[in-house]
Formats: sequence, structure tokens, C-alpha cells
Amino acid sequence: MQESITSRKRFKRLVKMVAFYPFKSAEQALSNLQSVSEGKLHSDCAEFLEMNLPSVKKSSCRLAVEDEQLPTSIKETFPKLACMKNEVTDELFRGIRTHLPYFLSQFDQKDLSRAQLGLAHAYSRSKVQGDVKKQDRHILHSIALLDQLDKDINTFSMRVKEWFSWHFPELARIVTDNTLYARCVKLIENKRNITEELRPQLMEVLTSEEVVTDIIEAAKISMGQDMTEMDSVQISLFTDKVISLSEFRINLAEYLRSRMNTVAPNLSALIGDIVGARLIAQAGSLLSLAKYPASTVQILGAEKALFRALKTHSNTPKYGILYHSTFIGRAGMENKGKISRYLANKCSLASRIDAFYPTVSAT
Amino acid sequence: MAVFFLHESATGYALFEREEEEEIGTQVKSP
Repeated sequence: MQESITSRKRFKRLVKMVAFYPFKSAEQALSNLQSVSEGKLHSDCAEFLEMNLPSVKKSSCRLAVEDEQLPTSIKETFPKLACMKNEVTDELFRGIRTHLPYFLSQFDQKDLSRAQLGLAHAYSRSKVQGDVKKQDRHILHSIALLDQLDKDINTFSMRVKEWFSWHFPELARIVTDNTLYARCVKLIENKRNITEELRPQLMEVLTSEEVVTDIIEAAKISMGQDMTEMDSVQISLFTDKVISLSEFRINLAEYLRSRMNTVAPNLSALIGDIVGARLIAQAGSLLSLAKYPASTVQILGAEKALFRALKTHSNTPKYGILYHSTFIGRAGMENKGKISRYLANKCSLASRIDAFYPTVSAT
Repeated sequence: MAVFFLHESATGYALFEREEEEEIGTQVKSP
């Protein structure tokens, strides 16, 4: 048997090509390949069988197939057609694959390998693009960027405060919010500009009559040193960056919320999108998170404390990232551990629904 | 009973027919 398969001459005597259905376009080839990989019978394939197997609707012939899942879907379309797959048919298919170019003499060998390569590329591309579950990569990056932005905005705001405080030190005590402070600096530019005429614009930013009055009063008796126009231009440019970064952070948080609603709606409904995203990021992907047992989810993010506890035989941590959930925050001190365990169980369930349920929606 | 082989390739579907009469998949028993 082995020899008859390796030798082309003998193999040609063993099997005879009955029919061939060439794909008309790369798209058609791709859709057929996708059906085969999912174990489904494509309409092209069904048509081909019906055309070329005269007795397809009777039980007078048997069809050998390569794919293990295909017989089930063939049975659905052609109930009387018996399918088979065993070691001998596999061997013969090996021969068919080896000698196919010689059977298809109308095609150039180079064209065949080019078609194979093109189809392989298209198939891989469609697998990567079409996989909704891979969308969790965006969550990973956005939560990491959100943390980075928080740090950066804070550092930059401190710099703006320090810099502008040489000129108008009283402002930092009146306006404590970093973004509002940057907006005020952008508007004021120089404390000489703080007059009653600036009140409506300051009101727009700060929305508090009292605070605006305090600023105007403080500007009159300010201790800060004077600043040239060149200095104030630099500070103004810098505040622009801080303000735009703050705006970007707000947009990014909104984006993360919508992404979490698409990728992991149940998890984000349970513990919120930020904590949910942190869990996914810590696990590496939604799929990995779904595969973790609830006990691992409970201490995710507290690995250092866990291994230290295991080493020193002391108490293991009760919670990791889950600590930031409002459920833990609201629980009494003696119940925090219990709530964490309970919450981890629910998170595990939710992430599994999100990862494996065919149509993901908040349930 | 005739046995047909359905082969899916990058270029299209091919249908082959086994010409030998012996039953595929039956094993030869030792005497």
C-alpha cells in the first residue's frame, strides 16, 4: 500500500480523478476553507457533490473525507450518503495530496503553490481580524495608558504649580484641583491681567463666585515676583499640554468603558470597568482570566504578598486588585475577606460567560 | 460499493474514485 502511494504510476492506477471544481476567486477559496475548518459543508461543496455523485441521494456509494467533523454536516445535507474515514483512507488522501499537481495538469505547479500561499495568508488574516475575543488587547493597552497618564498629568501639574507659584503663589491654595489650576493659569497668564473684566471668564472655568472673588482679591496683594511675557508664553504652552492630556484621559476612560461593555459586559457590570480591566490586564487576556480558578482571581495582583506569606508561613493575602471594588470598600473590616472570596467567585463566573458564551451580552 | 474521495485543496474541490474492487478499510486476516 505504502509503495503504491509513493509511486505516481502505481497511484494513478489506484485512484481515478472523477471531477474537479476550481475556485473562481480568492474570496471563494477563503470562505470554503473557513467552512471546512469549522466542520461545515459549504454550499459550493454540496453543489459539487450533488453534480458529480449521481447516487448522492441513494445509498449506493460511500464518500471518504479528510476532515473528522465534516461527516456530521454532510449527513445533515445528504442523509443517505455514507461517509467514512479510517487509516486506509487517510493513507490514500496522503497520496492524493502528494500527486494532486499531476492530476491537475491544466494548472501550473507554481500557480498551485502561489494559490496555497495566498490562501494561507488570507486565512490567517481572517482568523486574527475576525476574532472578537482578541479585542481585549485594546483593554490591556488602555488601562496601562490610563495609569501612565494619571502619573504624568500629576507630575506635569505639580510642575505647573511650582513654576507659576513663583509668580502668583496664592493661586495654588485657592484652586486645588490640578486640571482647574492649569485652566486658570492658561486664562490668567499674568497676575496683572486679573481684574474685574476677567471675572466672567474665570467664572466659566471655576463656576464658583466665591473662588473667583478670592482670586481677584489675592492678586491685589500677591507676594510673587514679576514675570516677563516670554516666561508666561512658555508656561501657557505647557498648560496647553496638561489640559489636552487631561481631556485625552477623560476620552480614554470613556473609550475603556465602551470597550469593556463590548468585550466583557458581565465582568464590568459586576465590578466596574476599571477594576475589570485591571483583572484582564493582570491575567494577560480575558481568556486567561476565564481559565483561572476563583481563588487565583481573588489574590490576582497580590502575588508578592502571597509568595512572601507562603515563604514565611504567615497569613496569605485576602485580596489583590479586587480590593479596589466598591463591594470590599463597603464591607466591614471583619467581612472583607469573605466578601472578597464571594466576589472572586462571581468574577470568575462573569469572565467565563464573557469569554465562552457565543453571543456576549450583559446577563 | 464504490468509494469516492473528497479532497479540499487551495485551488478547489477534487473528487476521486477508487478503482480497485477490494473493500477499503477491511483488514486481511492471517491464516
